[in-house]
Amino acid sequence: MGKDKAELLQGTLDLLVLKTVETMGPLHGWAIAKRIEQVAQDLLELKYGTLYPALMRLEQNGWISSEWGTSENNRRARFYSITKQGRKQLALEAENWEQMVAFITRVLGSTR
Amino acid sequence: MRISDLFRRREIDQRVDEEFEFHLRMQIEENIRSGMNASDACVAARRKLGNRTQVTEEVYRMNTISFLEEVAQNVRFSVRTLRRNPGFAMTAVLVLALGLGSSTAMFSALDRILFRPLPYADEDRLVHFGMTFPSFSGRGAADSDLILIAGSYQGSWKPVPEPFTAVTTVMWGKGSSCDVTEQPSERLLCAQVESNFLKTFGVRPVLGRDFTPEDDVRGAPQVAIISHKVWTRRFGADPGAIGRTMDLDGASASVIGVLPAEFSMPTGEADILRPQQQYPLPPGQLGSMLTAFGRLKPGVTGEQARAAIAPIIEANAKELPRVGGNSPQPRVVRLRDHLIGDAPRVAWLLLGAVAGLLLIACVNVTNLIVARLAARNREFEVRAALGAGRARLARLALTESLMLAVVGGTLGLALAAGMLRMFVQMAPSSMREIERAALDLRVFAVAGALALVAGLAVGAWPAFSVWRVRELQHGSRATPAARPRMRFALVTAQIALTVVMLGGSALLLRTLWNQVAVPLGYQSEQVFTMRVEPNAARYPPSSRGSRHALFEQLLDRIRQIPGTVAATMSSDEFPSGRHSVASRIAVDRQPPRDLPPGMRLRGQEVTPGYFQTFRIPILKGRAFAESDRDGPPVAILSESAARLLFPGQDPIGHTVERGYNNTDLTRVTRWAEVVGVAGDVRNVGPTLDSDPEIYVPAENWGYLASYAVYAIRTQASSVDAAAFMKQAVADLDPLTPVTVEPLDAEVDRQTERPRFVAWLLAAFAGLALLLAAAGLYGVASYLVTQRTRDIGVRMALGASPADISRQVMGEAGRWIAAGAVLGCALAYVAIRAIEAQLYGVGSLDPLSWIAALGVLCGALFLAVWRPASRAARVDPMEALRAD
Repeated sequence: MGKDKAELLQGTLDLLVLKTVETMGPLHGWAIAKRIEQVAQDLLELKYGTLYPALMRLEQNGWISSEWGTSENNRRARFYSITKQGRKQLALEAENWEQMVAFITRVLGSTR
Repeated sequence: MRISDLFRRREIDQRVDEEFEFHLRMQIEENIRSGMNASDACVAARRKLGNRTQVTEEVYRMNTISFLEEVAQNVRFSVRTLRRNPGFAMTAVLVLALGLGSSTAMFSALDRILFRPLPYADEDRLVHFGMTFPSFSGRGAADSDLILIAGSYQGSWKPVPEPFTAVTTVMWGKGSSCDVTEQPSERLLCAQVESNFLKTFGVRPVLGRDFTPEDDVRGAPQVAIISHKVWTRRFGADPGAIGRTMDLDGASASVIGVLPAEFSMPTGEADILRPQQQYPLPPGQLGSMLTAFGRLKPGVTGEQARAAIAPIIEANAKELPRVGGNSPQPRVVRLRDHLIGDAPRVAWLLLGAVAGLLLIACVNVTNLIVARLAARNREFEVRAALGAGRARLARLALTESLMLAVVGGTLGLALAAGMLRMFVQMAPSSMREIERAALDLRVFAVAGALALVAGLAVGAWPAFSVWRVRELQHGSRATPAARPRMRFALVTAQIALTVVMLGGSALLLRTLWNQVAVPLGYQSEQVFTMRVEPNAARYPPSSRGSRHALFEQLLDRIRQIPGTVAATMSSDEFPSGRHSVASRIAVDRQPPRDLPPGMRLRGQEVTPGYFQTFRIPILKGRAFAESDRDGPPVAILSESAARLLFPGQDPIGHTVERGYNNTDLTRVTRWAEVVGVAGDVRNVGPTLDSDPEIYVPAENWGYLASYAVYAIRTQASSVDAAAFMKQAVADLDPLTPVTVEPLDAEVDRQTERPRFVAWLLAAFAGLALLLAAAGLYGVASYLVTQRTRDIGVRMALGASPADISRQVMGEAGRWIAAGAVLGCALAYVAIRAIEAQLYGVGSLDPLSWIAALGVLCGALFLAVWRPASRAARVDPMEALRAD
């Protein structure tokens, strides 16, 4: 089923989650996963077991905050939103990512 | 990651449950929407979500275990990195060990002086008090002259007056030594105390019982409380020792208690405590002098206590015969101040110096780490790019420096053990607390804390700079330009601290030199002294016969020791014994008059060889002859005594009063003719003016004195001389213990404190200089390596090798100068701490500071020499090709 789907590069999940909650506002975990999968156009499958620990970790680092709320279908769910610190971290990680990409591109280019 | 998460398991459980449930429902709904039937949707959703427990576990791990796991991982990683750089690791560990070891040893040595409470309950309420006589309390006087008189003690101090809660006494002077007169015989230190003595100090015997008031009555059975040492030595630490007897000074005393091992007597040392047993005093007797201690009510100041006891002291004084010109003054001293004196001043100074050394060591290691960090920048950048958090990297950097500190601290402990042994040996007798210093738990705790602080201090900058790493930099210059400046700043700080320490030790060494160079007025080399105090029970005082005979026979024997040039017997220890002092004297058959305030006159009975033995010059008149010992009374004045008593006159032929007639102990005024004037001897201390002295020939020795002091000037070696003197005593009475000491040792003792401080400070300063030089060498070498290319270009453009090395030296010179200036400014503030220790040299003494700066610059330029000459040898072609 997911054989041709990309594994997540370590460290990039944080970036994806942060970006998602930044652009979409408070979301529950399910919506975050759906949104990322949707944007990735099914190139990537986000498992619950991957997403959930990441949410915990981000919250512990103070980059996102969460509170209980009610979902669109009236279920009790936890909603995550980005914090001020999270925005900074996002900017930083985005920059890192770009440099990483530039670096890897150069490496691939130079060895070719 | 937070430790508190360790305890939040249930909360996490619940949250994970709820989230899982929600996720599952959403998945099922989606599956149904996409056309599955309800049960398939459920199964598929569960399959997709996976094992719930696994997720919970992962969240746990993230929250809890990962914290410990990360620590372990960091440690493993650090060990690996350090092992790959053994040179760096060794250097850092050694430097830290040096800093931490010296600090630990110093702390341990000074702990008792500065921080550790005395081994008595509520020691801050204990005081030493009494009356002091102006003739006693001049320069160089100790609190031991603070006394009470037994005759008026019971009437005035019992019941205890306000604001004391308890008052207790030890018999002064007398009874300080006692002999065990059963086998194995030995001389012990005995203190005669009041029955409430231990109670007042809050000390309880570890075995047996304390004294009771019934023990302390004249004629009560003899009892003794023995020290832990005596208990171990004589009784093999047998609990059955209680109730056994010991023959002390010929009388049998039963052992009733054993003191705690950590007990220390506030009057010095004591092996045995015995009750005073002097009350009720026979009518008309003054009784002995007492050293008094009291426990104040909480919150009472020394001044209040002094005011309270003043009227009592005054009343006591009225009952005394007129002893000096002025009436006695009341004094109250905190027990701590009494016991430790002004040692804390010196202690703080040394602690400050060792703290400086530790600081320099830390800066040095920081510098090493910063240098290595420059090389590892890349590594950290890649790690950061691969997703390691900045905090994580900072923690990694910190782990590394903490590991260095822990290893350095452990090695430092071993070093501290060695150093402490050295300190104890060097410790001056005025800081006797040092002798009891040991590496105990308390010291370990401090050493641990120091290592931790050092690790954090050393790691702070690296961790911070790792924290800032975020960009991947590329190109040939991997190191940001700011790094060498940071390293130079660190070196400058080291230099500044070193300047302070070098300057301080230069001042102290000059002080020591000044003190040693003081002409003492006598020649100490090849002189040996020996104090002989026969057992009071076997040689009773105040009786014609045995004691006198012993003293005289001993003098004869000592004169006959082979190699003896001159020998003498005198009433007092040379040069500073204070057996007999007066603040009042009669001359030329006039009534006695008081000496000017603060002046005291020392009296000394000597046999004719005295001046010859110590090589004290006779400036006028003649020395004593054998015939003076039983001829008409004569006297020799010291130069200052002659000036004091007969200003502007030739003292020869005048007369001075000679007090007691030793033969029958009656006070008859006899007039001794002054036959000579001798040179002054430094008899208060090498740095203080001499007390004027009157010498009279020894008459009928031993009727009053309980001891005699012998001295010989010999041509024999020290071992032989000591053996012969001991043999002479043993031939006459094998039971009387003696110690023979070269006079040189006594002279050394007078300057032992400045020597201790000066050498320690100089040693610390030397180490500091070494570290600073090593630091500078490291930075300069690094700089030269960095700039090889620039240098190559400059050389290719025509710069000569001399230009290049001059440039390197010049740059280093600027940093050295900056450090020196900063150091001088720092010293200007810090040097106040040292002022009290100086003698014959001001704290701004130009010579000392120039010498310090000279040594500093010399050592530092030597350190840059190699890098500079390496720079000059750079081959321009190679340097340019290298890139």
